[in-house]
Amino acid sequence: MMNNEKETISKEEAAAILKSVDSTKHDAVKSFRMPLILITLISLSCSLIVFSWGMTEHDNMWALGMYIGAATIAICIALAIYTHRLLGIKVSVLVRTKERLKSVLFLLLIFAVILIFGRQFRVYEGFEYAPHIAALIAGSLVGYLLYKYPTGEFFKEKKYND
Amino acid sequence: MTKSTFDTIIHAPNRLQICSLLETTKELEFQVIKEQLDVSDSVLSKHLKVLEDANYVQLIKKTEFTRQRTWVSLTPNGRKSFKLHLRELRRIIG
Repeated sequence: MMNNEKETISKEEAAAILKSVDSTKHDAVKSFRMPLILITLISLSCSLIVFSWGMTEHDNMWALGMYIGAATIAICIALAIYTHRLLGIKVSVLVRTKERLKSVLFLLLIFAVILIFGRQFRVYEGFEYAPHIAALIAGSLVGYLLYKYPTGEFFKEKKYND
Repeated sequence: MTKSTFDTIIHAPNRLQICSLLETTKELEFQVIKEQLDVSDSVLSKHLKVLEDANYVQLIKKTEFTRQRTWVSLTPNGRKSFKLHLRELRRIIG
């Protein structure tokens, strides 16, 4: 079988090939990045959700912020998928790789902690600015991750950039 | 754990780049790959044919908005072989 033939290549050649693969992926990932306006909107929506959750009480309307934030995120993601599709790129929405699964689980954990921190510190510790801080952290984190890792895989194997 | 293998089909520079591109997404259009690789239609078609014959990629032609588009994706077999090939290269480096 052709694909099982053993070839001998030097360490340097192998390193150069891996470097070129990394470079190709890096360039591709850059071109798959969402428009900045969508990244900003998604980040702000995440902040709104976290902040609203932290501020929600029986006698106020902050819960509405969570619904608006969630709806905005859904619309932005749908827009991003549609734009990419028009440009000839079908983004993988489902978690199909181990790296992506790890990334999603890590993100969920971080967000759970931020959400709990934002609300619990305000309600039980009386720290009024906890939702503000939590919202800022959540929004910044989402914005950074969407910009830096558009494919959603930020746990990668070792890079070969010399 | 599956043993890493040196895959001569994937190892050709353009095919390696095609697999690298496809690994990051679900599907890419023929034109996008062509632009990323900066090769002609015929060169890309030739490489895709080799990968398709090895069951590493899948080509689907669709008409969208009155425009014929060819979508290319890595098959599960292709994804696995590409990973094993990269693993073998990493093993060589040590």
